[in-house]
Amino acid sequence: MTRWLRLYLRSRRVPLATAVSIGAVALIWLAWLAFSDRSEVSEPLTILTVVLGLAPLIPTLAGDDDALESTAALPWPPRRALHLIACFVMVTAALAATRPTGAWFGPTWQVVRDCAGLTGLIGLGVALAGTRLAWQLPISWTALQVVLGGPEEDWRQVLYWLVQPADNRVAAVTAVLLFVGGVLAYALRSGPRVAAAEVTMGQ
Amino acid sequence: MMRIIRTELRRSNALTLALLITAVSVAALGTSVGLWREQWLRFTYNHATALFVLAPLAMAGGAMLGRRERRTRVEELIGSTGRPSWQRISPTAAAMMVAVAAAHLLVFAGGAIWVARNATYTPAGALFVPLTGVVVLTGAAWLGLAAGRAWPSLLVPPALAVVGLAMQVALAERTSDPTSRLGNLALVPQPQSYDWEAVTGRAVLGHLVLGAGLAAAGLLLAAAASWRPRAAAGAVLAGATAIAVIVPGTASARYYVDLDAQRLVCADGAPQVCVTAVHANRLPEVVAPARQALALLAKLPGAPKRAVEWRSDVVYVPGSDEPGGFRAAPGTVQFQLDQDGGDVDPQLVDSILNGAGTTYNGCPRIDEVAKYAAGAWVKGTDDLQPADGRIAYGDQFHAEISDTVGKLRSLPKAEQIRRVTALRDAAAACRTDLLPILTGGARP
Repeated sequence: MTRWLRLYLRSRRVPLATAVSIGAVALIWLAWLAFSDRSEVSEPLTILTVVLGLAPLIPTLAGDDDALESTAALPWPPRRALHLIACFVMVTAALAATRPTGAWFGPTWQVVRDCAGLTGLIGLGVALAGTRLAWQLPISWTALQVVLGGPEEDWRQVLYWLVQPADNRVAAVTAVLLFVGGVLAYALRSGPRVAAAEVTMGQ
Repeated sequence: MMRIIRTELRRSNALTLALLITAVSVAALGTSVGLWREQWLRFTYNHATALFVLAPLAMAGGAMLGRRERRTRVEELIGSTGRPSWQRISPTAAAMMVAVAAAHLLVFAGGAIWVARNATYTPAGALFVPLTGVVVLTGAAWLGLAAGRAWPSLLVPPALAVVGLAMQVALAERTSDPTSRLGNLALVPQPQSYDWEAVTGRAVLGHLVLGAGLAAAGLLLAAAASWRPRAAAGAVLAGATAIAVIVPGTASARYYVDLDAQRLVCADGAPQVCVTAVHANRLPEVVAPARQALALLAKLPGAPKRAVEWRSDVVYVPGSDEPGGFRAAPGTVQFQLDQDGGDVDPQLVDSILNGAGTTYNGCPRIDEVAKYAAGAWVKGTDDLQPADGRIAYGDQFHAEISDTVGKLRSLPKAEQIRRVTALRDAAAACRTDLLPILTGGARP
């Protein structure tokens, strides 16, 4: 099993992606530690840090040749679901670990919610459009929320779920639905199949 | 050349990028429809602010296209063709430009059709703002193209998008400081406060230079094979950024009062009711309450014969007091219309009667109890509910008004009229300490 795991992680280029992801979070953390006189990182930057931590992990959600991988007689759906959940856990842990330090990211529940919802969005994006385009929806939606959103009322909170306070029920439900939907969708489908000719090009 | 560009448009991610930009731009505009659908100046602002997310997305889109040659391992093959590198890169760059320009201008055209149906004032300069946006988007896409050619990793496009976004958020925080110049680089500047405030040519020029600098640097870096064009790209980018920071001036100099937008448009019939050209589409709704208020005010001697919309003579600086605006001409009562594009306030009559018609006469707003009481007396009620979005007074304030009006009504009729008229004339002359005039504590 450990041998399989090592090969799997290498085939998905996880080591580099993890380094970039953790490095990006660490960079923001260091910058805030050095340049800000407040200890709690501002809300827009916290949300962007979650995206920055998750974005490098998107290319790991597909291998070089899905058609070849799927011929292996392995139960892929639970493995894919675990992979996505591991991405969520890793980024959440990285942000939550800053809690005792001099520069910490947002209320922890808010970080967990944002990270879960965005992970789900990425899973949905990969399942529907593939790893190359999956970043577009999470990043566009996050950007619009960060700049246009505020404390909204009733159903509009769904559109601006990232910028609601930590105890907001609508935002929490939205994030949970996105997470569950994303994990299920990615478990069932790893994305559109790339044509064999393009696989060899590695585009 | 045209044939290659057409092929690039079909075979690259240009269409995806154009669709993404269109969708995000429509979503951003959709959240503020009520604010911009009647005003060109507000529409161009809201359309342009989507650039803060569109520019990072265009950069990521460029990076997706730029990595093509190295990822497919044909760079040596293509490099062996007997053409200078800028000739090889230009059809790809042109395809990116066509995609972002088409998407940005298409959304503008779509919104413009709607605005043109509602707007009553069309500033010609507004049409230049989306062209600035096209230049900025092209610059971002070309810079992304260069980044994609340098680092063909799958990580680069999303990373570029988020980093660009983080820079925008950091810069946007600088725009709230009226003396800061760094905020000039932010693609989301402070919005205009009044509908007649137009963006200055220098501010538009700043973004134009920034976009042109990004585009030139992107093209140089994408075609560069040696350190010289790379150094030139750095110099161009630094120069353009410096110009974009310095030329528009401080954040408070971003807007100017467009006197054409403030030109008065009057309704037919008497008494005359006028609003500014930017609000002329609300004139039919305003006429009836304004004439009703003028009729009520006519019970005082020397009553105004004309009602016009209040206009500010200066640009509002966020965080400061509301400016007094132009002084009311003799025989004219001024009223204020909402600046947020909503319907005309149902309490417009009360707003005009407040202070017996002296609330928006260009003086600082003081002595609200006396002004409310005078308005309530004119209206024949115990209290007044003018539309006052900025101030909400407590119960004690309104009790004080009812008390003042009650005492006033207990006086002989002629004395009541004399005191309210005296208050009106004192307020029109910008005098303070108005309450004693109504209560008889001090006789002018």
